[in-house]
Amino acid sequence: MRDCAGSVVTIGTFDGLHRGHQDIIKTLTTIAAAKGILATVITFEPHPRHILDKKNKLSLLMSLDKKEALLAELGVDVLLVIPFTEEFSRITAEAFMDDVIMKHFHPAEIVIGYDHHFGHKRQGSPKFLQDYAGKRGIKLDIINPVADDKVFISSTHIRDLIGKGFVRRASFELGWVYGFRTKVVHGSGRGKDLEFPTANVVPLENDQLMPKPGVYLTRGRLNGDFIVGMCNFGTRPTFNETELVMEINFFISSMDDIYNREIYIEFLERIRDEKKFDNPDQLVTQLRQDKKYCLKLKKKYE
Amino acid sequence: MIININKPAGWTSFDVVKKVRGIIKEKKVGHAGTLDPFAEGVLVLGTGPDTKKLTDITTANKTYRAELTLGKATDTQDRDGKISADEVVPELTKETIAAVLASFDGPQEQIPPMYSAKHVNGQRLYKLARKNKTVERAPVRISIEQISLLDYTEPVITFNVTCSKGTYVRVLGADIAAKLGTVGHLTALTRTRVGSYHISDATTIEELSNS
Repeated sequence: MRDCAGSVVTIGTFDGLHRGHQDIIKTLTTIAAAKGILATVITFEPHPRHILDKKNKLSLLMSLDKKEALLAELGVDVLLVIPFTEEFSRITAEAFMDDVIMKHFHPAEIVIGYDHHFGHKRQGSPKFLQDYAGKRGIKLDIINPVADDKVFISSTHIRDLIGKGFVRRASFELGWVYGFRTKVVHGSGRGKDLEFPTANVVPLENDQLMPKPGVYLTRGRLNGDFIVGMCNFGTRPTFNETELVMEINFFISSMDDIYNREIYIEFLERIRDEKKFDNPDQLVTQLRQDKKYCLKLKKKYE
Repeated sequence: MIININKPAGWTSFDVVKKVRGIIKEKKVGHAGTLDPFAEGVLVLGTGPDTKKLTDITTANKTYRAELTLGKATDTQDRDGKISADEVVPELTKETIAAVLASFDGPQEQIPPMYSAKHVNGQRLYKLARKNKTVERAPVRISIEQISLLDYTEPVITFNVTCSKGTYVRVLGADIAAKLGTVGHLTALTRTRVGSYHISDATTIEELSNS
């Protein structure tokens, strides 16, 4: 690790890099620009909860790649990703500050989220930092939460919204459209016979947070091109199946070229719940109606 | 260079910046006044040394075309979002609506919905919000320069508004609905002007890529 000649540092998990996190990062980059020092973010991978609470594996809003890309866009100069292990989790907040932050980053200033705790047993609270930084003459900025009406924006709240299918509200609180990288695989091929050929997509990340099952208007990003489509995420009860799959009918003339490709899928709007129909004909009637509605909505996104 | 872009819905302001960076092969691109991902309309970009001009553009007045749907308020912005209030829409004439809109003309105070809890101990405020308690928020001085009715097709009001920086049109929408004796929420929002940059002169991303 190369030593950095003076920096302003923030520490956090930042899953989702939502509008509250963005407030922290904006403060960080503003200070860095004013003082001519490096805007430095220290984060952890895997998510600490994956190590500390192995039984209830938390589904995540974003991959490390996406986090890195967004941080770069926000103007962060240095990103340190610390591998989070059980051993690391036992390091005290004080030792972490001494041996990592002070030794390698010589921070002139520290920016921290109001609720961030680090170090063994979460001792590294903003209050702890106030004391630690105060003694060493380092300026500390504690960034308060961002709220919209009564809702305080947090990763937990956004995960909850997505789990309930409220994807637009989730995107609003994220400040970016909820989506993730997937790979296109071959499905049952049943859709073709129903005049709605679909591509099946599977997320590339194991811990990716999925939306509530149902029908969505989605947009795929493929090499800079956008392809809008209608997505069914569900078990296909009309055909008495039980496995949860994500199928997308892209509004393009042929889907032959997209198989086995990586595609970034964004969830623009929720259309309806998944339903069990008495027969495939009824399903097709509903799908035609859904598509008509999706094509109407599509115009807004072009 | 200053570029006036017509941002589609579903794009973040950053998406636009990134795309434009790629098209014009210029590293330094900034934008004036973020537009929410789902809002459409004028987003002014500056490139190279012109990024400095963006601060002035950010503080300029802005014009929006808003679609206000009466009778329902939702707290999720989704079609099947949680409806927080559902009320009957009274019989309204265009004249009544126009008069109510006109009453919003001029300087006034508005309570901003988005806020960073700056003044008090954040932790405590956060816990209050969890318990659904209302948090006191300081109103902000705003000014509405012009507001007019474009259409009313029950239950949807379409209006134009020119307002100062820091005005939340969705709050204005809710206030208009309240004054009309019902509830409502914005179902569409297009920014048609930022300072001297009009939507009629704006370039779409597609046009820029092909030029």
